[in-house]
Amino acid sequence: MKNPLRKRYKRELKKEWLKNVSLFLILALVIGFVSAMFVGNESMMKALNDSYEKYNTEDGRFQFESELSSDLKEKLESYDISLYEEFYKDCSQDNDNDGEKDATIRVFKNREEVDKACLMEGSLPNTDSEIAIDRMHADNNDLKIGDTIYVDGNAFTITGLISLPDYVCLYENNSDFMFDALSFNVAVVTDEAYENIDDNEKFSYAYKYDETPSNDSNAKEKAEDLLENVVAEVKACYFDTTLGNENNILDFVPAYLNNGINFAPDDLEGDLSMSYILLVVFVIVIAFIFAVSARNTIHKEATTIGTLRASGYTRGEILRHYLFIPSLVTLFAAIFGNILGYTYLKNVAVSLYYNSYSLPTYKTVWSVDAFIYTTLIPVVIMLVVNFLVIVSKIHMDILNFLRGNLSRSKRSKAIRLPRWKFMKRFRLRIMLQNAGGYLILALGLFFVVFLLTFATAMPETVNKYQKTSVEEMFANYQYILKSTVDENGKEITTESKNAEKYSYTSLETTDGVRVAEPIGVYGVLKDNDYIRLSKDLSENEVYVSSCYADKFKLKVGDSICLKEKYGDETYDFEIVGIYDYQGALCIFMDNDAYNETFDLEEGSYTGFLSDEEITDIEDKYIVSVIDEEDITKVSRQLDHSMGGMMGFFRVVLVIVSALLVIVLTKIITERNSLSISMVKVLGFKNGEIASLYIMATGIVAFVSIAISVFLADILMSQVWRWYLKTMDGWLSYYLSYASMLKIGLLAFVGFIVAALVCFKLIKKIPMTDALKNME
Amino acid sequence: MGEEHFLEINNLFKSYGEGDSKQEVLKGLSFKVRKGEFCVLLGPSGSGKSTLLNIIGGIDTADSGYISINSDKLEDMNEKSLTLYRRKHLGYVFQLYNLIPNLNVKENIEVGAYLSDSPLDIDDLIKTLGLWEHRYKLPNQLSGGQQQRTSIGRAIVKNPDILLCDEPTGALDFNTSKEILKLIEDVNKKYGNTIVMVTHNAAISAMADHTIKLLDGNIRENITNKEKISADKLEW
Repeated sequence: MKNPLRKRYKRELKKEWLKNVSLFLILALVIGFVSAMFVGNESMMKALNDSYEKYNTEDGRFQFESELSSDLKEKLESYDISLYEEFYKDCSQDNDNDGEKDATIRVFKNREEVDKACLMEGSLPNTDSEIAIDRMHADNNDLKIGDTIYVDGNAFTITGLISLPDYVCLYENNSDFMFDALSFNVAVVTDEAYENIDDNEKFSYAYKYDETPSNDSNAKEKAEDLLENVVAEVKACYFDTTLGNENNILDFVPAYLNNGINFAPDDLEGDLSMSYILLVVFVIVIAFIFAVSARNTIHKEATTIGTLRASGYTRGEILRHYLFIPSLVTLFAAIFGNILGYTYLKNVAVSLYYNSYSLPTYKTVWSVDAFIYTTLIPVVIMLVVNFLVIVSKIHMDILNFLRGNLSRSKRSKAIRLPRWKFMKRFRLRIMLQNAGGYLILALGLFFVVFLLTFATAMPETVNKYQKTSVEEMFANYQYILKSTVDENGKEITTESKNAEKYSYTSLETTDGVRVAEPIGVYGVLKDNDYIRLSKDLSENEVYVSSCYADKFKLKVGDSICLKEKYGDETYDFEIVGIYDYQGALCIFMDNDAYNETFDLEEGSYTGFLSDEEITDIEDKYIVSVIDEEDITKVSRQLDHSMGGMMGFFRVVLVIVSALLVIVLTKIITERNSLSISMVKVLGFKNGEIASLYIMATGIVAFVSIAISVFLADILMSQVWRWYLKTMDGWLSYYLSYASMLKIGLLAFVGFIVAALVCFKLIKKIPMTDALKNME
Repeated sequence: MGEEHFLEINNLFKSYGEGDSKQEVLKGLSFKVRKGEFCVLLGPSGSGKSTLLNIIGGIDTADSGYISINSDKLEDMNEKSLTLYRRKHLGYVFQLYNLIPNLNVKENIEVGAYLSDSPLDIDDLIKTLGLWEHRYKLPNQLSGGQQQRTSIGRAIVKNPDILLCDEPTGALDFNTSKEILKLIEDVNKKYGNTIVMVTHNAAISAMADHTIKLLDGNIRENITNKEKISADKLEW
């Protein structure tokens, strides 16, 4: 004979439909989202991993000042590597031939051996007027096959959309804080078309080891050895001018440090972990809601349970009975969530990444992890949490059940309350009686507020960064020159009255929160109009940008030690001030001290700062120009990648918050149904009862939300700091008081709905409940 | 009715509390009940009758002395064996019926049947209980008497060796009480279960084979009723 108690399940599910459906929906949505992340991630990761072999991804790259002589190339290849030319030209891209630059396009010759293009649509270029461009950039700029773009003024027809394995994530420079799939593009053209482009050529060489590194640590070891050997060779050859081998290393990026290759998979993995943590926390919160509800039911059914136990039902049978519904709801939510995850939500998850990264084509793979993490583990968590919460009740003596006395508290006297008015004291008693339920409510609200803070602070921080970085720009244009003298040895200068000289180089950190983080070093002339340092600086005295100070927790009086990137030379500086600049991690020093520090001639400089565009310096002498577009590309990309998602996330969270508060408020009201019935018998009106029970919940919800908003802000700022300190660059966390208030109000919306639901519930509780139970 | 002693209570002591607040509830009780006997534990509130019933039912323990049922001593049983003992040999009826609110009459009786390897025929039992036309009703659609009948059905369906009844008519009116007592009497006759019933109503002892009168934890009288009357003849 099957246990007849099973017949209760259907009726319990129906009776508690609001709670069960609400929790089912929350679980199904979260499980669906995480399942989609697993399936999407696993599919995309497989496509990425396959692509490394299929498209022969590099093991690393060097950039040299000039093309390697065959002799030097041979010497470098003697270190068990093969070098492949991946020269490129950074050009201006004009999408509509209006003469305005729309993007920077990095043009390569079509790659034959290493880092081969994955053709996602169309065909590779065959003629001098054809070009294949990055698929992601094309999507972001609404460019299609057949469109014409202008590269340095030359018309090219787009014949293909591609993904380059070393530019899966469109980082213009590996040290950039953020990729830029909006105004940075990569492309391949025919050899002839490449030669026809008249622009500065960059001499980048990809390398492949003769023997592939066995793992990450081996790759790191090999890269360090290789760099040491290459630096030594290049230095040795520099003075051997008879061979024509003089050259300089401008950049070295082993594959494991290449953001263009690794940022997307790292992000995929990171997001997966975060979403999984989100799922676990959600399941725990919901498990507690079920457990509180089950405890209330056990209290209500104590005498019946006592009778069953006295009749011979085991503790295990009773426990299993109360664990069944939470597990069933979770299991169904997991099944429904997984169906959503494999279908509609998978496309949503995948599109999140395809909107940010230039990933190769993927095929959906069935994920065992998705099944384990989104089906088995939620059910196990639900069982464990409910077991732990219920088991102490179930283990009470049968006599306690029969007497309806399940309280473990040995307190014989009620807590004395202040001499408030009766209703206030009554309300406080209700709060004390329901402390357990209210604690779960407070935890649930904190969780929702924390996520709302995340969804609000992310875009707000980006917007704030965008605003302040533009406001704090030193000048509208920041020019870095290739050399300060032209081919004839004449100093390159400008007639622009706005222009002021400055010096710039880059060092890297040696200690602190992140080692080898690039730090910009500015040499500032006295009385500079663009960078105003408030005191005269002696040698080794520097200002640090507020961004650098914030990330590395630096203050005036501290010392910092920086080192050159591809050398051993170190430099010690003392901080004499913090310069209000959030745009980059950098230090500012006197230009004379700068020249002395870096052994440069007196009066040397590297570029100009100007509020007006400088037009009288030829492009070939300019290495780069930093303007507002460059400064804001980080924030624009971040806004593009997550802006819409955060709005959607906020709406989902408000719904979740409302459901959470409704379910918990309902549970608390139902737990008190006998008391409510009794006070009705005594003559209290529904409004008065609501002012007692709903107001009590309202006060708890209000206080919980208020405290949660502040706690979540503190916690989120720490999480933000912890997360960003592992990356180059810095965005200072920002959340305005107005937004904090908005978060509080959004979370409170749930309570207003809950109050309405519970008022209806209170009205429905009959007076006979109290009288029946008094028999 | 069998002649052997089925239930033996020997020198049973039980107290609650410690030190000054220690209260002795049972003070060395000893008596025997024969198999199939209808035994009434009679006494006023606080006399220890419910405590004694709970110890017999294995849901409370004695400080000293022992209870043996069919020669098995309860004190030798661990938690698991006690549960099994209750499951296989005992049926419980309480003053408040403690039915499962969202199971109907038949299903509530099935809750008891589930515990037995050879339960009584449920439909037949429902008819005996006089609940046939109410079998699909939920407890809140029944009168107090009907609910108590259902609770007796739940206890008796597994055909227990002993039926323990704790003030089964305590919440019922005179006529309904008599109906319930008649039902218990019929069950005793039909199925031959040993019945131990706690009551403070002295009139009920007239229908019992054996009455133990308790006062302040002691047996005041141990009476074997040679001229018992039927439940429907009871008056109080």
